[in-house]
Amino acid sequence: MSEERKITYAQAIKEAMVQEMQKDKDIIFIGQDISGGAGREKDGLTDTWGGSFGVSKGMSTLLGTNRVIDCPLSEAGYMGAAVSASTTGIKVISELMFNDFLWLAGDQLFNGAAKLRYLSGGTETCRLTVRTVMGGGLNAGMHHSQSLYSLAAHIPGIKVAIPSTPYDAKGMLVAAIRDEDPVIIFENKALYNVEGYVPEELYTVPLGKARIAKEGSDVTIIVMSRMLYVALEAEENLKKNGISAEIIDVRSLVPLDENVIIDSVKKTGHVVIVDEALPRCSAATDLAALVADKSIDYIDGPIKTVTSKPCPVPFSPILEKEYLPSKEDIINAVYEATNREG
Amino acid sequence: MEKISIPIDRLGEAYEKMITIRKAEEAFEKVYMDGKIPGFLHLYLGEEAIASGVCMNLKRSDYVTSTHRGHGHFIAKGSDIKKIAAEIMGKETGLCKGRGGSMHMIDVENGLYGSTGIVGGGFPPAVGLGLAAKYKKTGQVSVCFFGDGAVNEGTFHEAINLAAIWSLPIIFICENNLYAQSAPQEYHQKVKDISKRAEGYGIEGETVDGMDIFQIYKASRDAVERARKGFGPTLLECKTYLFTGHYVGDPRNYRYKKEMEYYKNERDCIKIFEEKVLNEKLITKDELMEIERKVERTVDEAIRFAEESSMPDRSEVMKDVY
Amino acid sequence: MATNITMPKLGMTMTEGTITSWEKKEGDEIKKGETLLWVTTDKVNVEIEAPETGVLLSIKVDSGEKAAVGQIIGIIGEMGEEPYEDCEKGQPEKEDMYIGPQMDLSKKVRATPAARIAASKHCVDINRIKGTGISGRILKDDVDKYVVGLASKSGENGNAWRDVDLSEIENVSASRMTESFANVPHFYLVAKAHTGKMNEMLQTAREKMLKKGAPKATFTDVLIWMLSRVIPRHQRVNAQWLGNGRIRIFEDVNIGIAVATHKGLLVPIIKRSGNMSFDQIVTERAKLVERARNGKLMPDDMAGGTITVSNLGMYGIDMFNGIINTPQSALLAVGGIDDGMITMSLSLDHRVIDGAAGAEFLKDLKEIMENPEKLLDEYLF
Repeated sequence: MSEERKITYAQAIKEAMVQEMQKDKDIIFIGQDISGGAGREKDGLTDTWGGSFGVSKGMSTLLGTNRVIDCPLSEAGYMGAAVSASTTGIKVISELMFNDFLWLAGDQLFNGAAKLRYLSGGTETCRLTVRTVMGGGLNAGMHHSQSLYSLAAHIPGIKVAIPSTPYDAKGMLVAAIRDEDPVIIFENKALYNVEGYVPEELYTVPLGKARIAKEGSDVTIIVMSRMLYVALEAEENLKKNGISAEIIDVRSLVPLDENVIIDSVKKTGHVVIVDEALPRCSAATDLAALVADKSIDYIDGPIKTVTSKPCPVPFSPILEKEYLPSKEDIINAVYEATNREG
Repeated sequence: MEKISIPIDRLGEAYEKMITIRKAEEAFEKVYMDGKIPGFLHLYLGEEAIASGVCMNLKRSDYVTSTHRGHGHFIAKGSDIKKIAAEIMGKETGLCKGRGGSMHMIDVENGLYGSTGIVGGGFPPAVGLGLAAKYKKTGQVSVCFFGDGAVNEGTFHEAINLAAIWSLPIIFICENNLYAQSAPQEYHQKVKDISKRAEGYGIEGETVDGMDIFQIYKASRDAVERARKGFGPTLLECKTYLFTGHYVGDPRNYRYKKEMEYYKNERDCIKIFEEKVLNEKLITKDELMEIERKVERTVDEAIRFAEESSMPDRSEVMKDVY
Repeated sequence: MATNITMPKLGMTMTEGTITSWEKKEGDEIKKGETLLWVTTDKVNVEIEAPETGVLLSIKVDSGEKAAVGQIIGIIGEMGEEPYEDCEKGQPEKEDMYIGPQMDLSKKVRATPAARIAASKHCVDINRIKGTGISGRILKDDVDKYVVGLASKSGENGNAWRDVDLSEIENVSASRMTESFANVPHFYLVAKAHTGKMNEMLQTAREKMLKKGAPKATFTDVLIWMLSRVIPRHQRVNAQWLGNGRIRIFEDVNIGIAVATHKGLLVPIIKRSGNMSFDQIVTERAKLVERARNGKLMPDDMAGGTITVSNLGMYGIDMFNGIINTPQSALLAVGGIDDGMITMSLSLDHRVIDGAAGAEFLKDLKEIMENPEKLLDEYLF
């Protein structure tokens, strides 16, 4: 029974790419070190890397180096190439090793891909899926640990997915590949080893649908990416203290499932938004504004956000821990949101 | 060509720099394997001659921009190895109080304007430092270290062209170790000698053996001299090889075994130096061993210092945020 | 500490006022609340009280002169105190510094949006509720408990009751209605009219106007437009009782429209509707109704009405009699349309207008309602 099948978040992502690429010969996959030992096929030295986290190990052997293509360190160059190639009828999965490199590849994505459909009067689309890696907690330092999905969500024309479970990682990636427009998927490096139920067959999780991860009645906790797991820990503690929390996993920032969020807030009257990204002009503030706008009459306490601290991601483990949102931060925010003295 | 470019009285210094980097990196590797260093660790083992040879021609006030593989540059340029060790371990006594770690260090006091986690991130800053030196007429030079992979970044082109047209006192040092992470140079670029690219920008370019500190010393000495005199930038390529993987833990399956053995056994920059100075009887074996013992003590002390140092206080996280 | 007296803003559109007279001279002592001066605007002559007890140190703008709203016109302080110099002079160079709102926030009640909505729904005064949230914030739960508490009191015969505080608007409305119903001799005229042609006209107008992006026209708009043109021929419905054998007849038709809001009944005024085209009426009515519903009506929006229209047709009411909105002398109560007929009841002040004159007005109105083409010459968009 496939229902019992559990694989990791990383395996789910690979499975999505492999199955979809086997099914659809129009898909190519490009990125830095996604294969490894590029050009050394005849010596048996290729496919020796598989991306920084081994996600795509084996793919170039299975699908060929003409479809799984290693790129030089030229983020702007190959990302721009992916953008235009994906307008010609082929579909491109382009991996950006860390989302911190968005500053390098960003021009082609945000000034190029994002604007194409609009500019062409709706006739041209860019069937591009960018896979990139976000998130802190692994002491990778300030250039490899940021969570930059808010930047992408700011630009009209880019869809933004932030899956938190292996199931969503596979289903949303397949949906992204099949989507007509550019999608950036922010994979959380701290989740690659998380295991969960993933069906073996191909399926999609539609972009733009939030998920109620836990039903509750007293407070709505809106989460993104890894914060789901931190919030679930907080929820257990809150339950012991008589607070029933409803946890909503946003899953997709663009398009955004406003209804699930608003309906939940109308039900509970209290809201805490938990976002690993930074506090200003962010997904968290955006959702707070949405809640204030669409459900103000139901709000019965302050709208609280829990985010990382507004500083570069520090390296030292103690500092990084302090920087990231914690279970305690969520619990305290819930207390404030529900008008309890902490 | 001068056979022994380094003045006799500075041979000990050259050896000390190289062997310090070697011993320190080996010590860091061990501490990392013991689980005492968080995050990634990119080592400089095998490339010691480059940072040492180049930095011997620099003053403390001269500028250096580094890479993600920067420990060697910091040690050679005169950073306190204790503070480097402490930074790598995320301690409060580190160069950056534990905020940056191995890949993100700065030491402005010693002219080090930073290692970086972004490949190609050091090119434009090197131009700015060279521009400032030229504008202020300080006689400083700016040295930019980078690898063969970084040459494929757009910043390489933009920065080197700026340096060329403004005739800035900059030396671009390419540490060509034949690999950009797992991508072999023959795959990631069609040009073999990266120094040839200098011609495209109208500047001086030269390729030297990056395992021979004497060649590196001479070429960089000449480049620094040209820069100080206002003759503009140089692109100096040093062909080298990394004895370890891209980072600690990389099994190097994309490389040829023979290639790794060849470089380790026949092209080790420290062995090449030792053979040369001993053959020419410029220095005795005892003298070298004494330097080595002294360096071992220094490195041991640095590791101990770092291990005994405290982690930063949690309250430090928002300090210096404005 | 000296206190500046500034020209007050006495209406939305007021930008300056004239000092009619100072009741005190410089050097006079004055008590807080005593009349200090009179100010005339284009509408009214208003008495200004002294904001503090002290001595009138200085008069900056003399009687008969004009001053802009906010301008310092005088200074009150203690005997012997030096009046402030002009703000511009003698002060250190201004830094661009945010001072904060010039209001006492401690008097504002802290309550969540949900609590405020609940209080409003149950018609309880939120100021009477004790908040249990952080810093005394009033929560929805506090309101609910307060309401339950009110309801739990039981009377002698065992019936539970709860006492409800009226909103300010409801309270004002209550006393005015009492005053009107007790003092004004009301009588009522009822008539029916065919609405077929009015409806046709409304549909045509709606289509034209929606294309132009104007608000959606309503039946009431058509009625107001017609009233505005019929009323000038019947001056006594556009008049008010002054007492002592005098009435005042108004030149302009200013029609009030009764709007039910969650805070109570409000009557914003469409001014000079006789000079307005149909689409101007629609736009103005839509604006005023929206303001009324959002609690954004300004005092000016509700001042100067000469007749009121109240329409309860949408509630399925056939006909009703309304209480005159004094000091006006007429109110047209409009019921629902049934089988192409509408029933209207006109409440009149018998001191101002008699039955025959009222009936003629209503007949004329009915005639126009049934034959709008008679007005079509003026029917301009």
